[in-house]
Amino acid sequence: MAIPEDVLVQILLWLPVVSLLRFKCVSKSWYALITHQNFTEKHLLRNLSTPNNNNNNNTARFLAHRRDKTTGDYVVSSLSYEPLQVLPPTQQPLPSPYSGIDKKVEVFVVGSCNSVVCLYDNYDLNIVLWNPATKETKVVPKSTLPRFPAFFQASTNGIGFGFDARTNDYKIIKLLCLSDPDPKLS
Amino acid sequence: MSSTLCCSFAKNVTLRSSDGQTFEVEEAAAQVSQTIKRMIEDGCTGSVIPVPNLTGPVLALVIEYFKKHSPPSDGCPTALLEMEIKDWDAKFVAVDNDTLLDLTLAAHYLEIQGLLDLTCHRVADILNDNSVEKIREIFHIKNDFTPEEEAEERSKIQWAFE
Repeated sequence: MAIPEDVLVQILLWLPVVSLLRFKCVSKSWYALITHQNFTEKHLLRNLSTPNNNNNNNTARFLAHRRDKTTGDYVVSSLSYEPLQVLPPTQQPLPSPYSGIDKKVEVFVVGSCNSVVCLYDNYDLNIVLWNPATKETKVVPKSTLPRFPAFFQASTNGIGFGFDARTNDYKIIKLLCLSDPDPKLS
Repeated sequence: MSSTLCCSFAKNVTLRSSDGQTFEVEEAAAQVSQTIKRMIEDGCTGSVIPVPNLTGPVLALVIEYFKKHSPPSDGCPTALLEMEIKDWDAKFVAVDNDTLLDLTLAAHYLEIQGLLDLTCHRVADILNDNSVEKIREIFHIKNDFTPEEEAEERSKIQWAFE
């Protein structure tokens, strides 16, 4: 008996991410369905709008970021807003190495949106997107904007991360501070 | 025709399954299905309504669902009634896997959103507790990955299998 694809979607939308990752191995058509952007978007919307049995997706959350004193690893915990408490899983180590670099880098949380966390690696100056549910990471390619003339000194003043509904994509904004070394001062 | 007259003499419709079994059910109850509702609106009431995608035993179950979920004749459903229906629903889908899948397909074909949500949620709960191999068995799916492809895919997400 063949299950129509739209019925299968209705079934799979009820499943947590960890089960969906496993079920990619059921068959090629299940793999294609589960990894398709249409499905992942629907799954995200469902889980943002309806409180799940297992986790309180509906409550506002903070991400707390700290360094474990004994291991030196950076860990992230999510906190519920009301009551203020650490939600299970209590903490998750930041992805390291995230791109085959086997070293402990200094990583900051820039922000999070739709369950995707934006990280800034202060060692290689990489911006990294991290999905804690699937444990996937992606290093964001460097900006292709033209470089500033060499005599300007540029320093990063801040990074913002958000979702642009118009383009249906995430947006990262880097604020740069340019200083023109005054030749008269040197 | 006045609405009071309509309600005091409940109209019935006859549904016929793929294997020729016929069932009489109140028109208001059968309209829980959007597909049947449209057929009634299009004037199918005089004759028997064919339901060719459902066998007799499955149609009989769906009619049980119709009866439980037909709109109450005396206004709003109470909280107590809603709770009772929720309990009834949970028992209704506590059936063997094949029957559950039949009900899911029936809900899809007859456009019964409440039953589709109920059965899909139940199927998902069953899947969640089972291995990839068991899921292929439940859905009668042939594994079309080569052993190498499957091993590679599994190794990428080893943690999800632990």
